[in-house]
Amino acid sequence: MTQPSREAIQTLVTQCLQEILNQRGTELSAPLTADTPMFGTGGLLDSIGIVTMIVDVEQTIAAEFNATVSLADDRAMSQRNSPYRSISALTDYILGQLSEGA
Amino acid sequence: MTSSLTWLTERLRQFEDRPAILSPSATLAYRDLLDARFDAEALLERDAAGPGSVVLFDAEYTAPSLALFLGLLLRGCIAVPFTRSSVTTREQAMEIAGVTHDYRWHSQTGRMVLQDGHPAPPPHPRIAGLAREGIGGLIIFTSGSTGTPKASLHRADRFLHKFREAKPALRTLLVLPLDHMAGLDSLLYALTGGGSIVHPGAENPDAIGSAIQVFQAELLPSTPSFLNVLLLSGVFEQYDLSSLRIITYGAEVMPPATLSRLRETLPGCRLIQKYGATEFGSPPTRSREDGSVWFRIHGKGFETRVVDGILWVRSESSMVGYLNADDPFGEDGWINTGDQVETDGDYFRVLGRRSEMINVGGQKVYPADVENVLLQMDNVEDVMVRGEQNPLLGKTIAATLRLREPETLAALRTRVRSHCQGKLPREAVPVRIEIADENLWNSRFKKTRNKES
Repeated sequence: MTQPSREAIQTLVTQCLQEILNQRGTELSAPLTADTPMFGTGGLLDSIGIVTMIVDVEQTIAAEFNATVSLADDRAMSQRNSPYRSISALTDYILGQLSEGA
Repeated sequence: MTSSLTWLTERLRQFEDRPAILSPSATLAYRDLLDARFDAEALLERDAAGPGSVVLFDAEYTAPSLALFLGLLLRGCIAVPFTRSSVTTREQAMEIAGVTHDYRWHSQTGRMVLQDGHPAPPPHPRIAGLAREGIGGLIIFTSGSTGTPKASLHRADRFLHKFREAKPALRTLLVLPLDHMAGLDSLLYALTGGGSIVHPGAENPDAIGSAIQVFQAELLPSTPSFLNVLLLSGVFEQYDLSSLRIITYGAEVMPPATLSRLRETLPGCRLIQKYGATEFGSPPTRSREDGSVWFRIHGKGFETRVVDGILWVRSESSMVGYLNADDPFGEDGWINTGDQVETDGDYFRVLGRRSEMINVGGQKVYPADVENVLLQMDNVEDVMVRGEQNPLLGKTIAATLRLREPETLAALRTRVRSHCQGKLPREAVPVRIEIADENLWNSRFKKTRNKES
């Protein structure tokens, strides 16, 4: 399997986040960036929101790249810097898992 | 013969040449069934099965099997009906119940044949107690919440007591397995009321539709999953099912969407919610109005009360107890059903098993509530909702949907979430959405939600 590019994963994560925000009718005060707080202090999503988005991201990666990542386990929860804090952090976490699996 | 059951044979004898069982392969009159019972009693005599013997047998809608069942009850044995949809394996059932005799249906000869080489285990104290009184019994297995099935022991006299009052019975289409309380109750209501059992021979919707049409079945005891399958299979359009006067359903929570489709499809048919349990059988129930999920229990010998949202039942026909688990009896013989109910006067609505409740971040979610909402969606044929472990919220909701037409997961996901908006609280909206490629119900026509990850 060729490793998907950082750009591809970041786009995918952004689309999943955007979709959840659209579903909930969340108004953004500023355009989404890779560093917009996603979950945690000042984050856009509450716990149900992040959990839902994570499953969407897992399923989309499975469908598009035929790869399995596990983003909602104790390991993800126990990271010193939460992988859920921004699009960029989650993208890094996913890329880390993909390269471990490759 | 246990004298307390003479009423049963006398009752059956009244119906003489009336058909007891109608099936595409054979018709069996009451007289035939009673004759076959003498053969069965002779067989049991030869094999030294009497009071205190625990007898497992293939329980089918055939003369030798039903006659053996009757013979076992009359001889004071403990009957352990077994079918291929049992919640236990045969070996597990034999071990838990302490089976002394194992009869298998031999298809070539059409006889019940005793299996050899079975060392008699020491009897369970509760069975020994019945044997001392010369009272027969019945063991029915129920799936336990801990994984090991529980063996529920009933006294034959008390179990059969509610059938003693003669009530004319309808021509009943039965596919419910005979190792299950609903199957046994339906069978006995029909036979003690002089009704006929229509058995389609196979369990596929086609065979069922055809049997209803050919034999003009009037009553269909069922489960919501089973009715959903019938609706989807198109048998209501293919066959003339206008002979059906009453459909009863139980064992699961009825989705209102399925109920309203049934009402549209069979406008002349009464739809009745049943409520029963392995531990106390099925009391007569009355639905509040046709097509309502509210019902009340109005049977003689059944009392109900609601404690902390949970339904408790007390009945003369309750089991003696479990053979291999702690009894669910509270004081004075009340049984905790484990069913969470809503009440309105003396009517109930079952919300679900307390054990099926999914705790999402501290909020209670009942799978049936979510399934009902999802079933209203276009292109959704069937739904199963379960809880999934989640490190952040404890549990989250996962939904598996069976579709009529192919659809991408991404499109379905968007549709599900927008459909649920305003209809379900946020914690009840499915987080994981999957598309099924198989049936969502098992051989007992109940949804299998325990596939928890």
